Amino acid sequence: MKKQWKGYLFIMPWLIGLLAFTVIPMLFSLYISFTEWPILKGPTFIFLDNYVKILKDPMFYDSLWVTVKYVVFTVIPILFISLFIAVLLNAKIRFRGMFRTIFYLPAVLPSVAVSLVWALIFNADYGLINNMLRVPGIYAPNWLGDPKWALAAVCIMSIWSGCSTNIILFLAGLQGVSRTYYEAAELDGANAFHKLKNITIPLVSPVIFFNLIMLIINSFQVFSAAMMLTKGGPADATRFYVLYLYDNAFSYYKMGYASALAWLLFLIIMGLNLFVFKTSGKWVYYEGGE
Amino acid sequence: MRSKVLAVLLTLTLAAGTLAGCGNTAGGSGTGGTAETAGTAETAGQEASDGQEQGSAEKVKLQFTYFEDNEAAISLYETMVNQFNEENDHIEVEFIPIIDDYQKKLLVMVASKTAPDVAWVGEEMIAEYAKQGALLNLDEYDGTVFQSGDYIPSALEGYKYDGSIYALPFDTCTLTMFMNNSIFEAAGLEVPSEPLTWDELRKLAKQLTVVENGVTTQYGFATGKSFTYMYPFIKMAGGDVIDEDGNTTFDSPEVREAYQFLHDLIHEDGSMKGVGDETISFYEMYNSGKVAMMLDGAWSCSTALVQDAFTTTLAPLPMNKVQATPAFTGGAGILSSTEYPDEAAEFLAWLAGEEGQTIKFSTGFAASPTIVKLQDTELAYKGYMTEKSKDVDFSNLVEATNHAYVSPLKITGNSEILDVINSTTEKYFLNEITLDELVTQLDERVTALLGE
Repeated sequence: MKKQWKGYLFIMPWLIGLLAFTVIPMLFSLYISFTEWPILKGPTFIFLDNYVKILKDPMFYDSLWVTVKYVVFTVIPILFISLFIAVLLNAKIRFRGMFRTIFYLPAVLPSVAVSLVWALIFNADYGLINNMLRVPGIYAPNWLGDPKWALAAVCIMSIWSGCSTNIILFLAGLQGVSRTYYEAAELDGANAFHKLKNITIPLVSPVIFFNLIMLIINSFQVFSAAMMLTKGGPADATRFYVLYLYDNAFSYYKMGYASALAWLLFLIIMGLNLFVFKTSGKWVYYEGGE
Repeated sequence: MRSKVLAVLLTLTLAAGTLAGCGNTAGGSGTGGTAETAGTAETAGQEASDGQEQGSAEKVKLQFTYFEDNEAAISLYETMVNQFNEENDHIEVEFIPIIDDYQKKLLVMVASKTAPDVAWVGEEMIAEYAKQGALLNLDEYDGTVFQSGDYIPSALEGYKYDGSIYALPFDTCTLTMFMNNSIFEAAGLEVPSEPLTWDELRKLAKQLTVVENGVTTQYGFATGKSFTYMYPFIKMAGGDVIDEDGNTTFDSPEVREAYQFLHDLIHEDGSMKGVGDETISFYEMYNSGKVAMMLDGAWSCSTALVQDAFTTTLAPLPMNKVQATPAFTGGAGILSSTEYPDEAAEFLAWLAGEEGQTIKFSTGFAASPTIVKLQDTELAYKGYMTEKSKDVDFSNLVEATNHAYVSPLKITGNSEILDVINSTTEKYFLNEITLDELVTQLDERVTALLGE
């Protein structure tokens, strides 16, 4: 213990940062969630009233449902597409370095700028997508204006920008797979599909697991995409949970209610991830494991 | 040994740096310790700068936040504040323009106890700020520092809560009809000089709509679909959404008529664009010559009247039973946290008074003054006028200001109610719900929110 104090001293800046910017604000928001706080004057303690009110709030269920749809329709496609692209980028192809850079680009672009460009791409009258759809005469939807399509538009954008980091992680996982497995399988007459199904996927399953967890956490907190593209509209079709939370905090002067919403979201994400962890034993394989 | 001491010192410096950085942010959190630290740091800073100032003169320092994204208007306000500072020997005002998310930023400033002394406030903010005691009641200064009788009643009404004045209006804008002269000419039609009835408007809008290969290339009529624009139609039909006893009246023939009218324009006639892609707004469509008639705030004069491709005639609002427009007003109030309420009131009265408004509207600020006396001068419309719009007749804008009613934003006084009305309205215009469902849902949900 005597010698350890120096270690603590060196991690102090980080420790203080964690306390000041994460732990204390979190505990404070937990306290705030038990109060009514209109921000313009101090909070009044009301204990569980906010939580009771949330369970009766139709907007809570609507926004949660929209968010769940978003999570399902982005997380699954992102996992499939990025694994597929990573497999391609792992093969010996020409300009491999260039392709890897290009596919990673969305991750380094600021999401607000990306959203502004996508807003133009989705424009119903002059947008790139609809101009291309009209050439062969395919129905060109009013992407951001039609409640049936707006969520799809936000999902498409998120898939595009969400794949990049996952591709890199998958690529790293793929490079860790030893050539010897493939060679042995080839001797046994395995084709490309067999190799993918029986060697590649099981061996990168820890990466799939990690990506799945991270994607679930991030997707439930979707905010800037909808804020920039649709502002939650049309007719609340893209009013995600965090968007509703943000409105409560900063437009409706209900900081306590918003904090309660935040803690409910935390519980939801936590519960879902616990579930994923529980099932992971069945489909995640670790090299050298049982 | 020495290196050890150095290491400890370095770490402590780093730690102190982190703490100081979080002082201001955490200050609002209300946790005693951090708030205190931030407080002392601030006072220390203030004392230091006060010390420097004392050499010249002992002036009271005020901060004034202003909401504007237009650079010309920001520099105009800067000039006004500078002029006040020059004329005044005991007050020095610091001008803080905020270009985006004003309400959220002000809210955070109030919560973190760094609120300005004087702040721009919108009509929709008054109810909440007054109710929570964040704005100073200005009644005690009425008759001494300013005269409430100087102001146009509808403009001042927007800044009252429970009968008391909480802010002073310093500019006001009504709604007006913008008519694209070139489109009328091309269609061989006269630009109407009298206010249109709803039937006439509907007929004209249909005539002026152009459809090519199933795609509408020119719309006869355009306006917003938010409550800002819906409410005037309800008023034109002779209705309202909240009665004298505070009950909602969405389910009434007048409100139904107003919604039905715009629904018909969108779905029966196709002469107005439906709810949809807002990446190109309705006023941008007007500016690009794709709309024949537009109902919008007079603030759009600054863009609509300077187009090269066409000229515009300003016309009064169409009417059904009532001929009137709401007034959208800008103003400022005093935060009750100020240390110098008297000096703040002095500055506010100057800014929103005859002198401040005279400077403002002689320089081309696209709105009308709120002082009755200035309504009869050329300042009443000079703000809208540019080199390109010298020949435009602004008289109906001035006329409209005099019989305007208070802004729809003030009626509900609550962003959540506005959001509920707007998203439910969108559902109706998208045919997701019927007119019956619309008015029932609005009555239910708005009543629930009003009761909170």
